[in-house]
Amino acid sequence: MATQTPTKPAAAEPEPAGTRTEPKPEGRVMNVFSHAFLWLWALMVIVPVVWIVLSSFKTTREIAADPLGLPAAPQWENYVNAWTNGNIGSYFINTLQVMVFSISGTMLLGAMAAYVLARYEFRGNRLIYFGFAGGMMFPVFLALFPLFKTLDNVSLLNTYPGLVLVYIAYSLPFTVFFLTAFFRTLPTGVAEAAMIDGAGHYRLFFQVMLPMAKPGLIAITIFNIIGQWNQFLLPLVLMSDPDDAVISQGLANLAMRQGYEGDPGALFAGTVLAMVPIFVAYLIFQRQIQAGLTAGAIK
Amino acid sequence: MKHGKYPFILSFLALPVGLYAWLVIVPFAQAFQISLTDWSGSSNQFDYIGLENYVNLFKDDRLVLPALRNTGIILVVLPVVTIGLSLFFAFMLNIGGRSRQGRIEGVRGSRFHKVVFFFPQVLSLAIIGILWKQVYAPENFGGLITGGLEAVGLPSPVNGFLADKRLVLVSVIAVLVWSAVGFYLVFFSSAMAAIPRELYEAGIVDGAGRFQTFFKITLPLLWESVQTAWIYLSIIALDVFVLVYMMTPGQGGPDGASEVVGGVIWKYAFKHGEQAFASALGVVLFFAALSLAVVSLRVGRRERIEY
Amino acid sequence: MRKPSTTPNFSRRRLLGTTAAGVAATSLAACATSGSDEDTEQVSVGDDAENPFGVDGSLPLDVVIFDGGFGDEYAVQHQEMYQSAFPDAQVEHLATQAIAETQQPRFAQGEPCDVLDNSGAQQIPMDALVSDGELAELTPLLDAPSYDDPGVTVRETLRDGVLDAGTFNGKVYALNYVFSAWTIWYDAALFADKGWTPPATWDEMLALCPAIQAEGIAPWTYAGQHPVYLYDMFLMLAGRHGGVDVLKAIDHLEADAWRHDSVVAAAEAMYGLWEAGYILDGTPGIDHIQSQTAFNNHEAAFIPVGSWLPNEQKGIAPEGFEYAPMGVPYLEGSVQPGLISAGGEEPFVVPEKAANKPGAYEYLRIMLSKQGSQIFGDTVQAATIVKGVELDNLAAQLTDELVSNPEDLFQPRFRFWYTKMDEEVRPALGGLMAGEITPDEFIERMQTVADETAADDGVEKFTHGE
Repeated sequence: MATQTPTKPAAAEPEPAGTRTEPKPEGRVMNVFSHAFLWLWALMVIVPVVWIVLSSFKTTREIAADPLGLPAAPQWENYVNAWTNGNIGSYFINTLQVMVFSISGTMLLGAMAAYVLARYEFRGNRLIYFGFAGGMMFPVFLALFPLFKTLDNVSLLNTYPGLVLVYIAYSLPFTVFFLTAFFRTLPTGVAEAAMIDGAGHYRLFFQVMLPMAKPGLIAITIFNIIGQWNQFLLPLVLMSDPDDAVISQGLANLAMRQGYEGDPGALFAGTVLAMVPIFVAYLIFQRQIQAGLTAGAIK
Repeated sequence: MKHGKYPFILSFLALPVGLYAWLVIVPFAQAFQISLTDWSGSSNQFDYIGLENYVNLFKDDRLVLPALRNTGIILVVLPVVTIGLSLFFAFMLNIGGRSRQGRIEGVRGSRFHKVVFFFPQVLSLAIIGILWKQVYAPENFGGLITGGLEAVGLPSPVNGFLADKRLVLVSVIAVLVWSAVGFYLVFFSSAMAAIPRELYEAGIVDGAGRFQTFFKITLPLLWESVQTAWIYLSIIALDVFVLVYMMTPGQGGPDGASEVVGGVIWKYAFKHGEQAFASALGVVLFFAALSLAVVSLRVGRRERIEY
Repeated sequence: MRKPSTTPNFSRRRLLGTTAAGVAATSLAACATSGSDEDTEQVSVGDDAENPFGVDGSLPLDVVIFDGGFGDEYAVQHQEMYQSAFPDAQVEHLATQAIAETQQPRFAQGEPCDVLDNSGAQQIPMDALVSDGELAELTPLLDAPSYDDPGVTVRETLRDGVLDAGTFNGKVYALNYVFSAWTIWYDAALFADKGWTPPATWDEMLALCPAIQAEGIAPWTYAGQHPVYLYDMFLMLAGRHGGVDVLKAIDHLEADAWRHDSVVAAAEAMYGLWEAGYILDGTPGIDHIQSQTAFNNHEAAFIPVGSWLPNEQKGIAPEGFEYAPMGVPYLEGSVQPGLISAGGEEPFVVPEKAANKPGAYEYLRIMLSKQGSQIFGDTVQAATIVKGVELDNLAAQLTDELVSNPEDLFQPRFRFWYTKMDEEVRPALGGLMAGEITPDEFIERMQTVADETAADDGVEKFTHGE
């Protein structure tokens, strides 16, 4: 894919003369090639997404018989079907209910653990740190059966609190790993000054360190939102009642139904509905995400 | 200063560590225990059979061995290609645009590109699977790539990309790269933003071309980010499953050509009713991932360049 | 609609589980001991024809329906029937496609649902459930008086041979509720229009192919990504040629069963379709939806699918299209040319540890009543295994004619008995039809996996029984 010969960029603009220092010949060829490649990649993203959006307005027959064609007339009812039959509407609410708690819980617990691991020396620090980091490597579906039993034993199966706790637990590895690196980069001077002023450990954390860590927190929050929004296997097994399903289950349901008596139009409409909020969130926080990731590298 | 340190540490760690141990560590410890039994997964009876599952793993040349081989390939190709591409894009979009009135910035339209490239991240994997299945379809069934190749007179696989044993794995990896590049672009962009501009300007004054700028200045300073990305991508590579499940014929075909370890675990756990065997494979996968992370952290350790 | 997670002796298990929660070993042990005999109750058939299983109307009934091609509307109506018989019972209804992911943990926990429609791509493997003793025998149901006529048992209301699919070593563990046949489909309107006669023999079919191609139509297509659609076509071709015993030998994992001349001939015939270029371009790369769409669009003349095809296509069938079924054209010298793969599909099971087993049997008895069957037939336009339910659907009537002789009905079983064989036959058939492996390689490959399965002591063996 990536090695396809670049086509002439669709929207290549003429080089504004004079504003640039003239590159060497080597740079000239590279320049054209690089720009073409950037636009090719952009097309590779845009075309499929446009295809999804177009398909969301087509009838089932149109999608099956002419997958690449344009819709004869926009089928708004696909959106109605996705919202009602596909239950995207109520799944949306369900997902929000879960994620308000799971995201804030993940960020709070993750930040607490990461902060202590990053800034305090104590016995067992490395062990706990690697314990969290290692969790990123667990294949989740291995834990499904024991997890099912664990939740059932404490009557949290098929409940939102149970799902919230599981989401938090399974988001912690990534969160702790990243935030630990972030807290380490924060300057020590401020913390020392605050301590001298008589701030306790708790005040230091909540009033000094957390605000300083804001860029990192925002970035990780966004990634946790994306991750939990798309989480599929855990809710499928732990929340078997379709009335309580979250949005990824709703979409997967629509997707799996394609094999039977599917409504592909509704599937694509549901997809569009599900990707809009995440994309908007990304657009809004784009700068913070980039800023927050700056310190995310392993130190 | 020491006052109250340990109570504080304890109070901050108790909840996260406790929750994590309860819902993550213990279930996985149980998975390890299950791997020593002959449990089918649909009953509550089982016997302990020692390491038999582990021995049999490496005799299974229908699913496990091809899956190990394919996962190995993904493990090498995915990080290399993704990191290469995202570094290239990040460089182009942040630094590659030559200095304009003495300022270093990305090429024109870089904000647009950054938004667009990230887009696959907001699509769920199930949707990406459906999408690319259509892109890869045979020419007379509306396949985008086969159709495109045909239109310019190039040969294309008559049955589409996913039904061809030689192409299916590459096709899956391409989708993984496609969806991952956006994240690492942003990731590397943020790291590049932290590099002082003066370094580049000095380089340009010295007459460094874009090639040199990249390899002499940018890459060395990004080494830690590359390392982090490498570990993440390795983890993703070991975890590849949903795409194979959604896209390929027979969820790992044709004829096992795209079997991956994650998919084989799922097959044994849910389709064959051999949960214990699946768990054994999962345990192997876990230790492979762990040692990989440790090795890449040790080997990749370099002098940090302070700036 | 939430499932109340209580079963009679659940509290004991919970107690054990909780105390052991921190210690993996102990809690797994608790799980192991929880499946004691007191969990299961034996249901006997009483004298009361109204309530032969002695259902306690106050107990809830937990039903899980596979939400696939048939949807779940029919099940909702069945549940209404149950509800009106037992107004106090709380009926839990779950419709899902992810049967294994949602239900397997409940089996493992010893708290399964009461009635499970174990179907679809994510069904729990039947061989594992049966071998583990997780399913209740359905004998009490079959021996009970039927819903409509106390003088007739439930068993007597069923079509011939439909219990075979759910029978494992002589014991019935699954009620395959839907009667379906695997056939070859063609558009009768197109054939009439072109003056083509639907071919009865393989040679007639081959002779017709050039004429079909001359119209710009490919003779064959199939669901290349799901070669299981070829399974019955291939086996019926072999079985028609050599008789049903050839197929039984395969199911029984007999030595050299795959090397039988008829099986080889069938493999060569299938391969010949590829060699002659009679398969629509791109077919190995498409799924069932795409292949059926191509068939609808007259891109191909023949397609192997089950009898649910017209129902599946009812929303998108082109104007004037007449779905017509036929048996696979038989080879020269076939000894049983009428053989057809037909019988029950869509297995409904009752877990051995179901909390409300009498209720589950009663629910199945309701499903098998005249009214229950009619509900199913009307909602999804497919036949149930109950005798004498009329469907006002031409394709269904045509299928009925094909399956009129009970002697000729046979469902090959090895795919369902041995998951490993299933995993092998799919890619092997796909490869054969795509020209990737030769008939010889195909035969050897299947013989090898059959021999391996036969030699594996860890695999429980099943037989046809007669």
